Amino acid sequence: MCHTSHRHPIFCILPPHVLRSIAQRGNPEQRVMATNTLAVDATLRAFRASAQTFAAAPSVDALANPGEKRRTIYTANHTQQLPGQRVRGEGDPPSGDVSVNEAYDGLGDTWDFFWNTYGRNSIDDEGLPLDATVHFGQNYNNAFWNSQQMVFGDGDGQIFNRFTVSLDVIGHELTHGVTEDEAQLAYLFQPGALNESVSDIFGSLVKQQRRHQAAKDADWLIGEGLLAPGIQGIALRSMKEPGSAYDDPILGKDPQPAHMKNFVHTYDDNGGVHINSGIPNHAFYLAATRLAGYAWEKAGRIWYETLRDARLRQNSGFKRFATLTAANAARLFGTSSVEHAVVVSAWQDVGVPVSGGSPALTP
Amino acid sequence: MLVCRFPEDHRRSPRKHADPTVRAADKKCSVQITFKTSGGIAYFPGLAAGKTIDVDTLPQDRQAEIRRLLESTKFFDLPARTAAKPGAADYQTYTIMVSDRDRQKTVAVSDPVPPELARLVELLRELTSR
Repeated sequence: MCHTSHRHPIFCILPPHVLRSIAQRGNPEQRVMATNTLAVDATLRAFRASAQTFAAAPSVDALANPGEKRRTIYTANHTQQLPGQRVRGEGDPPSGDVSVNEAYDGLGDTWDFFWNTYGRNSIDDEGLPLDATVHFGQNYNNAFWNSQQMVFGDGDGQIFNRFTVSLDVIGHELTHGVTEDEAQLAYLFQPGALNESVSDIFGSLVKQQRRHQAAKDADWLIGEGLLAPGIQGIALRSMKEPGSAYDDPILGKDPQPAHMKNFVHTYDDNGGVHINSGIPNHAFYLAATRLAGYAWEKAGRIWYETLRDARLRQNSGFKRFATLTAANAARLFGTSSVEHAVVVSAWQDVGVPVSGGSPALTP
Repeated sequence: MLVCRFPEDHRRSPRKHADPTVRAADKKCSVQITFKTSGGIAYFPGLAAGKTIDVDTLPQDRQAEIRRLLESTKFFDLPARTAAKPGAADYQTYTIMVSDRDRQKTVAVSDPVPPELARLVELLRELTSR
């Protein structure tokens, strides 16, 4: 813990009982610092848990027909009960509730994207029904994937708007389900940042396909429209220019790096999963824009095949992921192809060296 | 020694039917809560720092509710950590540190928060927002 950029290194060497004592008797600032240090324990515990067996995949409905989506939207009615009350099922007419309709349409766009582009039948490629709950909690400023369904808060209206407003955020959450089904990248440190990056990439591609945008015309923003009026920012993240999405008195400044030289060492945020994802995000942006055309056709295909590659492990870091994207570019387009060269150069430009052209990776 | 009206003190208190807010003004009963939210769909440096509430300085109804919740949830006996499900992502984790003169306890829970702690987390979120 002591080789982090922690501003108060003394907390690294104090035993927990002393920390607790500071927490008990210290002034507010000292208490906050002690709480931060104690919170590190949560990350380490999550790390140990991730080494254990993953939960069994949700059961597959054997009656699902290939190419048939089945969506169900629930409302938590501002409680935290999941899934809540069913308000719209597949084929039902639009509701009078904009969040319900945005969730329904967003799930549909995301399902269509994976089916039409990569022939993937839902999250598990076996027709898993898609469930989402809206109106979760009171003024709840978040959206998350609970390993079975998507959950969206309404936002407090002061910092955040409702979380169904951005199609790429819906795609982002659903892609967490795809990653869980395929690579099961641990939600910590570099594997966690890759997990986040994969969700940003395919979330953005869902939006780009919906808008029929070529890579050069896309905004490459995640969560545009999510920040409330008055907040100084345009989105949650920018894949084009990581670190530029917001700079605001309340939110602080977007901390995302675009290059390994600015990699953030932290135990917060599960080891910086939403921070360092800027690096692989930018590598994808560079590859997609250099390859031109629609980003989902070449770069997206390469990244998708990498996510499905058995050589990608739960604990893989940036370097292994990058090497596998190069390997899949070579497999799909040829070892001396432009696509392979572009992928290698994209990673090099964010400071992740790709070893060789042909990977010496054991399964 | 008579201190704050928390579960274990309850039995020893000669005034066990007293309004829990009555003793709040007593400095010996000072209760502090530090609340920190981490995780979520993005990392915001400005929202990442924990905030400390001096419960005694809150309006009476808030003080009473917090003291009731700490008792009804048996806060000092809760497990230190309720882990998120494997495979879950973008969930928030709430770290709650409560201390009085004699005791200190830190509990971390992740979304979706267990029903018995939902109100406490909601109230602390409201009290620490801006």
